[in-house]
Amino acid sequence: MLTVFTPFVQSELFDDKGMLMAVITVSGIVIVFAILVLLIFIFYAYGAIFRIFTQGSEPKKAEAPKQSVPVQAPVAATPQPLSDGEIPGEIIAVIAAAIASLDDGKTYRVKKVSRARTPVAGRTAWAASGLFENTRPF
Amino acid sequence: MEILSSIWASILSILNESGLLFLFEGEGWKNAIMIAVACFLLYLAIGKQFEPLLLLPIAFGMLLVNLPLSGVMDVPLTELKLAAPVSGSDLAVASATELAKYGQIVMPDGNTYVEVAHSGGLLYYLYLGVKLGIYPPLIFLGIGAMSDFGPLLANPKSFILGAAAQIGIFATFCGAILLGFPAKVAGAIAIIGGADGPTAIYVTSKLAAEYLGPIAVAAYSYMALVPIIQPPIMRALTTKKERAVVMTQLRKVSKTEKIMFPIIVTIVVALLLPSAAPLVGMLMLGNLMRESGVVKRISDAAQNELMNIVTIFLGVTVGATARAEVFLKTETLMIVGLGLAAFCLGTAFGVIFGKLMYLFTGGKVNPLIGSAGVSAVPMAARVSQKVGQETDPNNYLLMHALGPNVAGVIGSAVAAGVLLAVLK
Repeated sequence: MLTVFTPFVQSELFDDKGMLMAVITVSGIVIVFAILVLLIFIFYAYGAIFRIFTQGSEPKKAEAPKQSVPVQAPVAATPQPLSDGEIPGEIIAVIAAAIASLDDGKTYRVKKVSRARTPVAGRTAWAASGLFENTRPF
Repeated sequence: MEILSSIWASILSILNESGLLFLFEGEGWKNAIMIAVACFLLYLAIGKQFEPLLLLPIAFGMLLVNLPLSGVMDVPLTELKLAAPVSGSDLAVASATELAKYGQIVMPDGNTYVEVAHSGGLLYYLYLGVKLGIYPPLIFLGIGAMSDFGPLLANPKSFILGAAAQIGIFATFCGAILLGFPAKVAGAIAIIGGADGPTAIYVTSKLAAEYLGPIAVAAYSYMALVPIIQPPIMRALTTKKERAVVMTQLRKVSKTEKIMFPIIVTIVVALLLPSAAPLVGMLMLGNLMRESGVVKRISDAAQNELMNIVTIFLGVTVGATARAEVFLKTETLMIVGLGLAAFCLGTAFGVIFGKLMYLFTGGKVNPLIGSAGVSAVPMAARVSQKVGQETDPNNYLLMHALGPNVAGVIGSAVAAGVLLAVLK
């Protein structure tokens, strides 16, 4: 069997408290850090290699549907936009219905829809709400 | 009248053979104290819900073993009896049933003897799973099947925090040596700082099995007290500005990466530190079963049925090692104190390394996630989240803290491997 390191002469080591503490503490910390730092490098390298391969294959996937779907189909399905040219009527109707459903079906009229930026850690209101729901038990 | 005296005699006979009488004889008071300690731990488990899944069976095991004459942890024995009465011998004579059941041996003294076997207590046999180091790796299998290493893969730097929190283990080792504990016992005490119950039990069963009771109780008590012990240390070592750091969202980790993770970790750790292979190997096997998605049934079994069954056996038998004569010593108080020191130091070193990462990354890392480097999954990560939200209620550190948290599990298993390799 190949012996790289000289094994500890434990009885001698254990007799000297100072030596014992120094050996265990230094070797322990060094080995724990060495192994975990090695894992950091391995997983950084692995993650980088994996992303290169993934990025290389992504455009091919994106091209495939273009060939099979007729160009005119999405145009026909697009709803008519409002006069301001931003939000389709169907979306406004869904928003109005969602609000009405919270209040026993009272009739509401949507006068204005504007985008509210919520500076909640860079998340939208929906993302922040979802995160809050999922982490509330903790 | 004769009937009454017979009844009274039989009642006295039952009382004389009961454990109740033992409590008031000799050192029976020690058992009474241990019964009170067990009841207190049961209260903490049920009333306060401190780690009830383990504290409840541990406390009940402690209760059972300290009830006098219960015999639940009795070691199997072989008693030598005489096959026939011999004048001048103190040995008992085997009964007819024993003569029929066991073989007879003729000894050089010319007498015939019978070896009568007495079986051990129930918990003695269940305890073999601890003694032989079977239960802790099985618990790790379940933990692996329940763990998502995605946050760690998304941010591999978290491994550093998992390593930093293990410094407390080695610092406490020095403390235990200075207090006069032998090297192996010091190693077993120090591993409490890993905040990982199965690892603590595994290391103690290998290095200092006689201290299993106090060390296991201390380890699980501190794990239950993570939300109380850690926050003051975290607040003391960080500024408000540091605690308010909002970390960027973690990248999405692919399924292939998650599948490769347990395989790579097992190969690297087991090659470099073979003594850590049982714990890390089982942890990673459980995780591979989860992430591969092809063995959902056994992954579910590892997470639920196996984990629950082993938890019962582990808890109740570890509790049963806390016999009065072992537990009621000044050493136990020292173990409890050193365990607390190990835990606090682990938390502190995790936060300090978190601060270093904060500095080196230009303020992108919240140092609070460092405290999650002590294992205690997922409680330590929850504490990071909670303390972070004290400063900014919209700061969600949970996923970021889970990285160091699971890295801490690997780190404490590696630290355990180091202690076993050097001290065993």
